[in-house]
Amino acid sequence: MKRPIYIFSDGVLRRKNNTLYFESEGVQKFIPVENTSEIYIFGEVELNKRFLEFLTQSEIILHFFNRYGYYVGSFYPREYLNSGYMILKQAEHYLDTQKRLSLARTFVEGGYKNMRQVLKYYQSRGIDELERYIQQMENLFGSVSNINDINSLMAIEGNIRQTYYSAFDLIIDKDDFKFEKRSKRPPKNALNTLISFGNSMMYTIVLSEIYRTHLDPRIGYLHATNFRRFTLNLDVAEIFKPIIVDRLIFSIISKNMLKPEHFEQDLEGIVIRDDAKKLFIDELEQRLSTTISVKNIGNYVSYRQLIRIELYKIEKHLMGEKEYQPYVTQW
Amino acid sequence: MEKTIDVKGSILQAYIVCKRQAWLLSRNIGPSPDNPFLEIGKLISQEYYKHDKKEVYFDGVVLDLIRQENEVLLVGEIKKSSRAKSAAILQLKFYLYKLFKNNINAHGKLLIPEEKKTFDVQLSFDDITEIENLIEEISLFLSSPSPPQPQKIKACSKCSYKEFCWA
Repeated sequence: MKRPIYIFSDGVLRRKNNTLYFESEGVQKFIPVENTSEIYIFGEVELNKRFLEFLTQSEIILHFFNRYGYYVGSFYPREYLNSGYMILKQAEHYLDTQKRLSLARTFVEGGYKNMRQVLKYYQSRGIDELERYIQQMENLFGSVSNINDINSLMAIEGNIRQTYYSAFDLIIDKDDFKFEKRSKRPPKNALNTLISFGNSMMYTIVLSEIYRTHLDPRIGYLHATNFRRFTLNLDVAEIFKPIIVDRLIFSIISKNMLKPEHFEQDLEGIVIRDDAKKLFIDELEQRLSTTISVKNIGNYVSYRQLIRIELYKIEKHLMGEKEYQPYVTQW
Repeated sequence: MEKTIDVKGSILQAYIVCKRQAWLLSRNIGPSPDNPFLEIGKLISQEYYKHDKKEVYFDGVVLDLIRQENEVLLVGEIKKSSRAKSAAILQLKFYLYKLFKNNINAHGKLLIPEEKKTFDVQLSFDDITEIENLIEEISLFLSSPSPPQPQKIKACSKCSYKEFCWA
């Protein structure tokens, strides 16, 4: 099984003896290239073109984060699963307003249904007040089918998410992790910092999976495409953010794995310390490799495979084979 | 499709086993890159026959291996197992046909190193007619705007398109 590599220390990444090599403060480490799916870089790392060439040849994507944990960008090696046919289908569904809207609506629907499932899960564990938020989200979602432009759709999606977030304080119920309101760039408190970090991770994970399909990440449907940056991963991440990132946050906070000391006030707002990022990523990896049974595929699949399967479903929708139905968790 | 699609060895081989796979391949919709069986297959063709010339491009097809044997050119096709032997033999015959059309006389050998098996393959005149008919049949099939629906067959269990087809 190929695994992602996470680098937190400062050092030099190189190609050596036909494999990946990392040197940091005198510590030398070989990373087997055939076991590596993608690399996440959080530290200050030096690398050269020879190394990037090797990554391209090995089909390994590289994601960079700055010292605040914000996503910087990715080295997205030359596509190796190019299909002109699929790209034309993707473009066709973007250019045709009705086709684009119907896909965009499904992403909103998938995100909404999974957010609702999260709240319902905690409701079933005794937080009765969540009902009010579930109702409010349901009302908001009711108007989605009548909407005929992307901007209004985005606005409704935003309202649903806002309602959903405002229920977080009921679920977490810890003074150190008050939600208050959603703040980004920079996040104003620890919980918002965690959400931002988790979401950025989700975007790159989906991007890594897109790289292993025939889809072009630059053509998205819900999030505005400007043909320069990746957007399809943002669309697909909507579906998985609630069930992977948010559930993870609730779980590590309730187990007291994260403490206020893990966060620091910086000029840029509240930042997570490296040990907390590591902890978060460990838990995230564990969650992504958890397997569940999915009908049709036959055997158990991991959450990571589930993301890929979601992309295949989109491909089949684009090909006109099978209408896309977003994954909704069944806890 | 304005232009008739070029039939390649892999497409021909797939057509015998699973028509849907042949159609997807023709649109360059490749299999899941991380399918374990696919990776094993790749490693096998890398690890064996290191003294031979491998992955030789010729007239739009890729020959796994070529070797000079008793003044005759030998074309080898490397497979992981003999599961789809007849399809593999036809694929090899297709390569021999391509060479024949370019006035190159060659012998074929199907190589299954993990099973320590080899099969000699020769191109007969009947084969030539069969392959020409097959190419025509495949071209016609590929011109269809969409692939046939997936069907559960024996090959599905280890197929690298499994997740795609059943998603």
